[in-house]
Amino acid sequence: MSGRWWMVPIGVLALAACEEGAPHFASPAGDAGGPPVVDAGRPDVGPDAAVAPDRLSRAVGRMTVEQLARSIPVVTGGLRWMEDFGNGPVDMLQVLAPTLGAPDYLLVTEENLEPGLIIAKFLQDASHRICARWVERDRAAPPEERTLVHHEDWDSLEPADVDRTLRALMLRFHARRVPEDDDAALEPLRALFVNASSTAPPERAARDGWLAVCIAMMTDPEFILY
Amino acid sequence: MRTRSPTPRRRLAAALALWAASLAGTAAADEACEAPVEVDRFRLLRQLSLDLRGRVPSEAELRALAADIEAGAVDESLSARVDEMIAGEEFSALIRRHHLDLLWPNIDGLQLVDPAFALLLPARLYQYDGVGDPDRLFILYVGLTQRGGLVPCKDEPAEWDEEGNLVFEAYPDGTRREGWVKVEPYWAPGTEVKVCALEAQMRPIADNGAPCDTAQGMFTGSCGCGPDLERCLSIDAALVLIPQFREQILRAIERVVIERRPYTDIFFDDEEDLNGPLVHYYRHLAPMAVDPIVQVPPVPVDALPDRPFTDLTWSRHPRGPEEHAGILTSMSYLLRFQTARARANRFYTAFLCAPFEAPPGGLPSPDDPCSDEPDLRERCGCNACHARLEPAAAHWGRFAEAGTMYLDPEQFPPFVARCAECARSPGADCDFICRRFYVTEIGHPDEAPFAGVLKSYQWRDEAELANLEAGPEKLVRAAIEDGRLAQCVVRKLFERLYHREMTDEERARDLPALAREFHDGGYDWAALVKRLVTMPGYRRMIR
Repeated sequence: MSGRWWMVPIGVLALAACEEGAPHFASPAGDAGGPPVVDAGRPDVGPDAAVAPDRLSRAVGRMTVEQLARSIPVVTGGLRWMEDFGNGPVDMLQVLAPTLGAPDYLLVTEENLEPGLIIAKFLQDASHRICARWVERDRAAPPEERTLVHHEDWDSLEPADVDRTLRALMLRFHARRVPEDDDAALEPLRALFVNASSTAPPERAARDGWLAVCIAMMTDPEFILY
Repeated sequence: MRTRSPTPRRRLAAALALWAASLAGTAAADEACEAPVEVDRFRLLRQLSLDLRGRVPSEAELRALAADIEAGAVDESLSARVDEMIAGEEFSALIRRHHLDLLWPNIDGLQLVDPAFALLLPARLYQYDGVGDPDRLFILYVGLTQRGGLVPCKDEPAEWDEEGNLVFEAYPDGTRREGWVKVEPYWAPGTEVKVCALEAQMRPIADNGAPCDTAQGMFTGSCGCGPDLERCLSIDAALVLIPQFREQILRAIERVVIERRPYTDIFFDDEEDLNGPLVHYYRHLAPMAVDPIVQVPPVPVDALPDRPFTDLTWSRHPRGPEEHAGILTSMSYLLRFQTARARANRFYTAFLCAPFEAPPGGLPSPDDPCSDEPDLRERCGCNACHARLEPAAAHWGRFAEAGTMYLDPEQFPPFVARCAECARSPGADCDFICRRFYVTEIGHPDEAPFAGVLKSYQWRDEAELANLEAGPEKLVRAAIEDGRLAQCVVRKLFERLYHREMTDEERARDLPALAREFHDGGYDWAALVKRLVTMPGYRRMIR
């Protein structure tokens, strides 16, 4: 500690005066005061219950490109948006990251997390490629290894089978838990599945149905916003 | 327990309205977006997972939560899940991303070695005439000084005469070219690369008598790259090396957080992480780095471990000078922010939430006489920032600008007479040390007293000199003592987790208590994360 021995007694004095010279933080009321509160006995109020606007709240935000890259494989059972332009497979999210606003901390130091048209376009493209592969892979997999369809007969169009899978996908994609006795919540996606499957050739009915559902769920703002 | 959710149609409509509002910004949409809602536990788990682990929760995790709800164990399970996420490896996603956004550690555009005399380039990248193997490696200055032009060797095996001298072939363009040899490079042992024979030399002393492990020696182009090409950097090696600097600074922070040490340790740690690429750089390449100037690495060369370039495992090693201050004097930070002012500015912005901003109304005209003032503390307009920035920048005064070299007071005293003489001699050619580190250009009468003074000492008063001698740690300790650091750390984390800045009311009402908790809790950053995500406000979402 050459040349700085004089800092030792000063440091000791500083520590001794810690009580007096300690950082001054006022003690206000509000959410930050008191012990942390985690659902203290309050029943699950369900999604999106209204609350008073004057309490501390969190704003909705968009996933970063990095979060998207890590989340798509979780939802699809390991699939990424990979393309091969002749020089081996490339991760398109990595390729497109600068275009999507991911920071390089040189020219771009802050990621624009507005849910704008560029990210919407990207998700549109990504969903078409990923969902098509997911459908084919899932259909070829044994039931115990499937991650998309949850019923035994993959090509089943039975409403009960479709609803079961739709419930699972809503939980998987959007963390929306739809109770067994709530069929109304599934109606838009069910209608989409039926429309897509009924207009497809019979041998592709289920595949087109699930493809449409997958694309709809991946491009839904519920997926990328949180 | 049955839960009621808005119908899918209303939810989709709301989502579409949110999307449309973000694009169109209509008044009606604004009104709908301001009403906060409380997310249910599944959405809360999704938020937590994205924030703390950087990904959505798996279906299995969501089903496990459903099972816990059925079992009536939700309160404990969510808190336990937060603890589990914080204790898990994926928590690094938050630690790293947060600090990438604070520190901007990108040095990709920098020349870690001088491209003229230490960068091995494939022939195809420079004046390639389309003849021969485009991948054979050469160095620009070797071509210039030894071959007569910025050209590589010919694409034939090298030959030596009976006396062991390289054989050159004369070319019509006036150059002379030798052949290549195959070398097993340090960056790819077990393989061979085709290197021009002059570049593959292992001479210890250059033609000018300087050692070949110095810039002065290598600059002659007569040295060669040494055993296994250790004195030079190839593009392949650079692609491995450059990311290590970012990794080094991130590891320094990650370790402190994961070990639940005081967050302030990231500024006081006197050790740093090294792996094979960094050891090689410190030992062989840094001593030749002139622009940016490194020369003396943070861990002294004689204290470096014996690690091959290909060894990517990390180990901790003590740094040299006491004036080091954790990440604030790391290679990454000093190279990214190349002036003392930039280093201070980044610290103020990232850790004190006090960026330096131009005064309202802008700066006076440069033609205004008051703009002629050489001392920025006094110059009109500039003084709005520089009155604070100069004392802050002084803390980095012993670390070279445009580089990382620590300016040892014994080698770089505050005043050098020969530099002063040179400064006062119009037309004199001052030596490199004087030009680079000392005041030798007097552009204003007020600067005259500083002729021959170490540049970082110019204009300094007694208080700033004390800052300079103490280093950045002094600045950090002051910010700890007056609470600014704690408050800013809380604010920055709040902004990340709540997707917005604190309002004035929240800064007055909530911030002091959170900062106090952070301070009283020993600056446990992970605990602060848990605190912020377990507050009821985290579950209330403004839509």
